[in-house]
Amino acid sequence: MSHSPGNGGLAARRAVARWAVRLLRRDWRQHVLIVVLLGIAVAAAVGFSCAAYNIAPVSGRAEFGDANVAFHFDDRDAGHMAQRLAAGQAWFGAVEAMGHRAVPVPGAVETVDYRVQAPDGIFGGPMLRLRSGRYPTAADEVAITTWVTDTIGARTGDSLALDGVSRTVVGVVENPSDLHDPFVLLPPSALDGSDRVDMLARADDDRISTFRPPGDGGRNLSQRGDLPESTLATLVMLVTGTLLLFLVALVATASFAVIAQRRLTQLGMLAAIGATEKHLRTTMLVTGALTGLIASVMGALLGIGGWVVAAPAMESAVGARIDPMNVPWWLAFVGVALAVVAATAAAWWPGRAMARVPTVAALSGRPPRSTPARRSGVLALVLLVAGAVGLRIGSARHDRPVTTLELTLLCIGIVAVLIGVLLVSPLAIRLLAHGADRAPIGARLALRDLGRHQGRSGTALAAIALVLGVPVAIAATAAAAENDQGLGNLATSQLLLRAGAVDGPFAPAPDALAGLQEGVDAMTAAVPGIAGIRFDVAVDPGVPGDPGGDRGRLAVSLGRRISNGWSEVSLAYLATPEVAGLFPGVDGLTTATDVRTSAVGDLHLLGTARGDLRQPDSGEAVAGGTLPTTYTALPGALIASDALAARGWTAVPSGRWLLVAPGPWTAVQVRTVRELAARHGFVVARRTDNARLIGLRMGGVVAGMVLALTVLAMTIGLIRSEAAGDLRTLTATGASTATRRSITAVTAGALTLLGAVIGTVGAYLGLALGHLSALTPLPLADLSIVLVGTPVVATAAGWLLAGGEPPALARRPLA
Amino acid sequence: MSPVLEMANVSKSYGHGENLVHALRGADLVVQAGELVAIMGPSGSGKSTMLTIAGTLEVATSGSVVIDGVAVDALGPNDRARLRRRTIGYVFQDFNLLPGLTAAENVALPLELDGTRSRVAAATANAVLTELGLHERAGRFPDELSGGERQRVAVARAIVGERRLLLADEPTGALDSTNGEGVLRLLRAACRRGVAGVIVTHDAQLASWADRVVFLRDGRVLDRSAAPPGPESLLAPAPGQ
Repeated sequence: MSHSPGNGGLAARRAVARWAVRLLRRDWRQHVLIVVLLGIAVAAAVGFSCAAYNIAPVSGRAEFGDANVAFHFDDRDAGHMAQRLAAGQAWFGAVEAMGHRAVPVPGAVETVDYRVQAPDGIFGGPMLRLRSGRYPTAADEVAITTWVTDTIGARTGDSLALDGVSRTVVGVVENPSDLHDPFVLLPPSALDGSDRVDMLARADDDRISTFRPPGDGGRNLSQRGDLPESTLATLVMLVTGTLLLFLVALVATASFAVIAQRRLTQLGMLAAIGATEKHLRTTMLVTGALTGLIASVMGALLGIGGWVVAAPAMESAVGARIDPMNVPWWLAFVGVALAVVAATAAAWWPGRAMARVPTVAALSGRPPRSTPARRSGVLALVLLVAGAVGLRIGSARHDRPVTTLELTLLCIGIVAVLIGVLLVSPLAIRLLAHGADRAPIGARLALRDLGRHQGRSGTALAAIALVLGVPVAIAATAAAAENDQGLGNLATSQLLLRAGAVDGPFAPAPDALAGLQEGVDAMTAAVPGIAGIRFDVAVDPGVPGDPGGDRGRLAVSLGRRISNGWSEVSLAYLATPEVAGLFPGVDGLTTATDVRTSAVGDLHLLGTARGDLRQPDSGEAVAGGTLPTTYTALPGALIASDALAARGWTAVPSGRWLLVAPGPWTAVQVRTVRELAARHGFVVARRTDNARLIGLRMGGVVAGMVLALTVLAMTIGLIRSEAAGDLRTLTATGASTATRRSITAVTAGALTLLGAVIGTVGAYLGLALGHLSALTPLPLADLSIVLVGTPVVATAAGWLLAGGEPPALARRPLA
Repeated sequence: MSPVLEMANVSKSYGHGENLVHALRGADLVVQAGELVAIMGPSGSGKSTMLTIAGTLEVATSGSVVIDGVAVDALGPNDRARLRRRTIGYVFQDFNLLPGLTAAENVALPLELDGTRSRVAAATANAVLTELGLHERAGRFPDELSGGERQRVAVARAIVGERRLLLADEPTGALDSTNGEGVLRLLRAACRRGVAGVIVTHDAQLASWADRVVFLRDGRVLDRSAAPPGPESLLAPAPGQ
């Protein structure tokens, strides 16, 4: 017989592993819930990762295709254009030209883009796909998108003459990266007829910034963010994965603590016949690894399967074609591996705790005495401060796209704040227990038991806080997004009218205004009770009108400096009392002498004698963030009449009106206005449909509530079973069923309420520190569900499901 | 004959201050190889504490414990675990078999924990089970065995390998008289082969199987006496013994 000198070597590890596997097979019912919870978390992580992997690059592809910069040229001179494209070709090596012309659609409020794009373009591939028929090749041929088909009723073979030139429709096309992109595709030979030509190129920043197209010194360009979408997707997935794995670890730790305690006697038996602490820990580690493996493989399959099924349905929501088979397999594999590691690590701590229980105590089934988590408070503070610093630095700049470093700091900050808030849990439990002195006996016992077993109750509380905090953050962000000015959203009682012929920083010519005013008058007459607020815009008499001559007068506008040019924020609208009244609390602007805007960044007034849009450094600087951000699409910048006069500027009608109804617009009213708008050349904008955001909010909150109650159900049994002796004593001394019920009900309710409060505070803390979202308006319905509904449901469930007389009362000694 | 277990002036106390409880006060015990000693006393007298200290499941507050020439006080947890695997066999009142393992695997477990290859350990375990008349039950799980069979498996696990000290805490407490007698016969037989045995009991009839009886009260050893000829003397020796 051979003996190893140490811990028995491989043979011993194999023996304890075999025993752990046997126990897993014997007690599989105890592991079903944890496997399901772990599996759901892994499925969510994998499914979300697939979605992020496919969706993140969509927005960039829709605008730039495979390029990273687009130079916009609006000079219609064919000779100049050819020179610029040739210069671009010589400078960048390869460029692709795309022509655009906005053409009104009769009877519709939108315009359609007459687009010139080569189907085999070097960069535009992700922006064009043939659905049926063929691409246009001759000058009298076009291909159309389904939007044109649905709006006009044109089909392949029909004749289309929106711009007054009749052409034959030869196919149906789409922008696969933006399915809501309405356009009519012309053959490449029609480039000369475009109002604007985009030159797509791919180059580094230095190359882009030093390119000077011939003709004039002005440059108008759009550049893809310096953060690649793939990096963005990876970081998003990393944060999401970390959150979910953190949840997995919390749930798993609580679950394995239950399992370890159930095995305590058997671990004692093993120790009595010579197993070391390492052997005992190994049994729990094997259990954790096996459970994690089963759950993560099932979860990964579920997540990938769910993605493949859900991907086609997501196309309409995302507005882009999605390939369901474009699965990041490496990511799924990493997710599975991390989940196994997380589950194994989660089993290590309970295994360690149980292995340290004295053998005699373990044999008699006595759990280890809970020790107060003294260090958690200090660690929580350190993490909260570090997280706050990370979030602050990561979100400090708004005047340019976020950099990789800033996004990394943001991610680290979010995770640090998250863990910091969760580490507050043990402290909160102790405070709760201290506050129990004056409570009725049932509640007092319940709260003190939470404090006595704070190791387990703290883990459960952290898990509950996490699963409720995430939906609160989603709800807060979605609620803010519903009113985000960047989305151009309006109140339900408002419609925005814009002259269809007016585009860019121009005010319509005076002769066009009479017809527009007639249209507005017709609308106010046709729909009783509505009022039209006219927006006037500032113009500098010292600046000539549109260089092209047919777009009206150049108006004063607010521009934000971007890396190589300007991004237009808003026209500078005159703050008449009516307009200023749209902004609560800024009525005093009419007497002020400055310019106010909700935008932030390096802002300058352009379209003035001092501010030339085509010059890289010009115009009067304006302080940002001086208007509330919770209002609607227009106006984004206001200038007071005094300020106007002081600069020698004047105000002219902007060709934009706000129609305000006494209540929400009805479908009939909207149809009436749209008919009149189409007749008078207006474009109508109304409130964005928020159904998707509302669905996201409610779905997240309900899912969080269900998950929180599941975690609670898993842990509450353990906490109460540890205090089963108290229950027997209580019953023997004559406690009523109501008292016994109240113990479980208070335990469930207190844990859930505390978790909801910590989760909500943590969510808003993270959002506020990182400027990740506006904090108002509060999603009151969602917060009510989290802060009131969930604890009430937990309390009611605890009351209804508990309270039976302990079955072993007669057979067990009283504590 | 050399002593296998030597406990000298062993004390054990629990708690602190006003809650201090003395479970053992300066207890001495020496058990020679081949000797079976019974420890008797009323509830709370310190019998089980003495046994758990002898079995290295607990550490004495003071005094010295030497097992098979090894001073236990100087050993760390892992060394004590190794001592239990190699030298000490423990039989509990409620069997304490691992429910996830078969009878043979339970018996082989101490050997495997000590690094013996599973095939060799299984063969050794089966040999012991055969010796105890349990070879047909070797593949059964504990919940498929009767109480007597379970305790016999526990005895097999306690004597498998080269054990020198056999400790039994009320080994017949959960058995009827027939099965209890069978188990005691096994323990006695083990001692005849040179194993030192200690049985904790408060059953005088059970103690009569022992070579000596040690009486405990309030943690102190009150008396040591040779047991009167017990029921074993009336029984014919088992064939082959």
